[in-house]
Amino acid sequence: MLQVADAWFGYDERQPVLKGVSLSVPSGAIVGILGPNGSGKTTLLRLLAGTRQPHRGTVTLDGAPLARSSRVELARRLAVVPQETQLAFDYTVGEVAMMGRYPHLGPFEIEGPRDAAAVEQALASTGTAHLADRLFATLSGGEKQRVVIAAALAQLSSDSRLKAEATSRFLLLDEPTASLDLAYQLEIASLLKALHDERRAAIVISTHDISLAGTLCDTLLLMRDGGIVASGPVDDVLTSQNLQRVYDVETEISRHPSGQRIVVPIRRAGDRPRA
Amino acid sequence: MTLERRFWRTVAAFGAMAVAAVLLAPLAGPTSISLRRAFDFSVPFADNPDAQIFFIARLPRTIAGALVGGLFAAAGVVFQGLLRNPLATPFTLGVSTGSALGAILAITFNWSIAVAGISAVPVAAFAGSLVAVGIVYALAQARHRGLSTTVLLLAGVTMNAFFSAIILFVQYFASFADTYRTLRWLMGDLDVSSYQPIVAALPAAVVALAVFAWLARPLNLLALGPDSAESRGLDVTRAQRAAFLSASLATGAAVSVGGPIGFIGIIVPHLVRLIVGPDHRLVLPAATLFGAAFLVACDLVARTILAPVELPVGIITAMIGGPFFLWLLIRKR
Amino acid sequence: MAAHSKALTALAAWLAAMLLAPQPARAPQRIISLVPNVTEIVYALGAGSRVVAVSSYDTYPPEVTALPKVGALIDPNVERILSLKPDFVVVYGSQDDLKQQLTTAGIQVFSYRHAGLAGITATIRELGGRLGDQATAESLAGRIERGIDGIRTRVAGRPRPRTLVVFGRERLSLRGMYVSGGIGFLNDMLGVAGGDNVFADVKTESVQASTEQIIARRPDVIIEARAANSAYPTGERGAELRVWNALGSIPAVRNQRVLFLFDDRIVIPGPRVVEGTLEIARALHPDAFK
Repeated sequence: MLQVADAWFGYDERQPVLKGVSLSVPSGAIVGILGPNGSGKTTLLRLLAGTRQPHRGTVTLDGAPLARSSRVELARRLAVVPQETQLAFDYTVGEVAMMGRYPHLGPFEIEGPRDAAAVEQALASTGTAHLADRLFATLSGGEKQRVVIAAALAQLSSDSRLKAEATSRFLLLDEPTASLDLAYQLEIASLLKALHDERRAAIVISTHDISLAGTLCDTLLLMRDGGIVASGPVDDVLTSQNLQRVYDVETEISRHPSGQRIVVPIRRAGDRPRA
Repeated sequence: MTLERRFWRTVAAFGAMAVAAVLLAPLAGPTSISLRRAFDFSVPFADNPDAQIFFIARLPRTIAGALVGGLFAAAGVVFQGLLRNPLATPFTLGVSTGSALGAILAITFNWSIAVAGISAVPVAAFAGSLVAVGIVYALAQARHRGLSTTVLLLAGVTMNAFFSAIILFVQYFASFADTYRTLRWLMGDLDVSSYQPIVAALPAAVVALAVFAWLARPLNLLALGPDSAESRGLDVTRAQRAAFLSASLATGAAVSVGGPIGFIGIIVPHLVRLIVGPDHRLVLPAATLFGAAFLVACDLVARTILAPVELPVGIITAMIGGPFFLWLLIRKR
Repeated sequence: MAAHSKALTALAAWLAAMLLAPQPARAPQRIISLVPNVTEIVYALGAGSRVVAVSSYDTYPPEVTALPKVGALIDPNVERILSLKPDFVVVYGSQDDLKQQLTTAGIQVFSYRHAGLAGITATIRELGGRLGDQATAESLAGRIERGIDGIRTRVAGRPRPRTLVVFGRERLSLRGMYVSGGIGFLNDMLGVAGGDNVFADVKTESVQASTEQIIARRPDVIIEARAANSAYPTGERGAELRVWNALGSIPAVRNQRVLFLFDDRIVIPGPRVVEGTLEIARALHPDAFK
């Protein structure tokens, strides 16, 4: 269980970006964090990943505060897929994915066959095995995202010889479909669903894509201005009323025969309806 | 092929290159000597000019070239990894300006202090580099969190500007002869004529290279950005600190031995990456060895091409650097 | 009436002659010199009383220390120069801008360039003419030439030691070593004094000598020549001498013939060049000067 309890955080201490936020991510859950730009979604993700510490409040993994574990220990259970990946040098796909295995290596240890196997498996489950020798920089946006997800999977792979591991793992994705076109959005969504079903890793997605969140996630967190507007099971939280409170937009929510939720923005709250 | 095998193959290949350079370079020079006589140990050393040329003039110079070349190349790799920019050089963050100031002060004011048998100019150059590093580090640390590379760059540029101003000021009061000597120091000079400067630089070099070895994997992670690196278990602040300080130490040591010789720190890392790829665990050892061979070769050219006149080695590296960048530019199209 | 008209005609003729004839140039009365060795020449020519300012590096003769300083090669203070209202300024040949400014202001310019030993007497003669006293110049130049010849004769026939003339290096180190090449007044003085320059084949005035070159050329004598104010402090001379021991195979080091000649007369190509050359000759051939 990954838990945030009443966390306050600001990059500049005088201006908090998160104001008393609480969130529970049980193992195996798929949590969606929704909210407009500046609501603190990415920051919350950073707190969850342990790359930032809250000024007030706690973030705990299985009851133990993240700050008390070493970064390497945390990295074996928490992996982050950022919105965009900029590479400074010409690494191949295989090399990028292999970097996910670094938390499992000793200080001067070189990756071995078990690491290679974990990477192979990760690439296969994201459909990028055929890209292994390509330069990462030459890939399309969707392919890059899948490779970075593969790296995260390799990072979370339970096959580690360094310590007896607890089982729950968490994959944190920041706007995974933001810069992708429709085909890739579909791809990533189904990939995440499949991964969740296969691996029983908890997934936390921060996203703009309300329909994606509504369809994929079982729990939603709606944020605005660093605070939580609503949280809980999708069916309870995804209401027009809540969306209006978060986005200032009137919406209509319906269910598509395929089971996906459709959210249609109608007008900005307070605008007169069009004739 | 596994990384391990690639590692050993890389080290073997570039190591052979470096060893060959160090063994062959002392055999050639602007004057002709008899090697047989140089190695004729029955003749007392003090009476054997061939031996003196080989063991006092050429061999220390070659070893110094290997040390300085290796340090500049490796420091270049680390700075490029730290700043996530393949165009960064060991001189980007102001280290060499600090050492230049130290050297200029020593030359202009005729300092005659000698530390551990090392004369004033190298000592002052090293001290100057430490001061520069300290200032840049303090400036970059002043921010709340860790060591931001943007702030590092700004601090380095500020330092460069500030120290350059002081250098111009000192130059103004220097005599014509001192200015000339300063200019020549800036062009690089590997004629150490004794093993002492090499030995004196060894502790710093060993420490820096040891830290580089540890930094290889962190630098790979940093290439994806500090946040990604952090989420993969890297203590980014500690790694950046270590990278900055160790690479600056290596640069300071190299500059104090041979002066601020340019272009090695950018040509060698580039060429090495073209051959072995971007994995720092291969690039760092390869660049160190290739840098050593490269500078030894450049110095060989510098001291033989216009014999009896010996060119400063910095001229040769610069003359290679220009066309090299042109070639890079053309390739990229 | 005849005497009057004769006198008037004579007066008119004299007046006409005075007004119409070209004015003879007056010898310069306010001299400024930016070149220390030429300052010495000016004083040696007896025109010292007419010098109103010198360069920042001038030290000889002692009178110049009281004079205003107007800069030197890199930083001549044009305003200061002009404010002193000179009619004759000695500048370096490379100071084109300064020459231009002075000429525009109607001031005579004497442009000096370093040359070899012969250049010193040539400068003396040329300067003498410009200063309006060719005779003194001729006599001074002649004296110098005879003095040089005298030294040459004195050491003639003696074996000429292979000599390295060092005029700059880093303190307590053999790095950054600058020596005299086969051109220039130091090289010429050495030749007159009975020595052979080991770098005679390198046709530049200054050579950066590497360790290898120095060892390979086996000088019998090493002369470290410096201006008096660049001399090694007395307490540090021993250490500076010992630095050479690293190159023990050089005959000069082995036979302890590394000599410090910290003497302005050696490094300044001026009227004292005979005394300077004599110092070098004494160092190379002590037995010729008992």
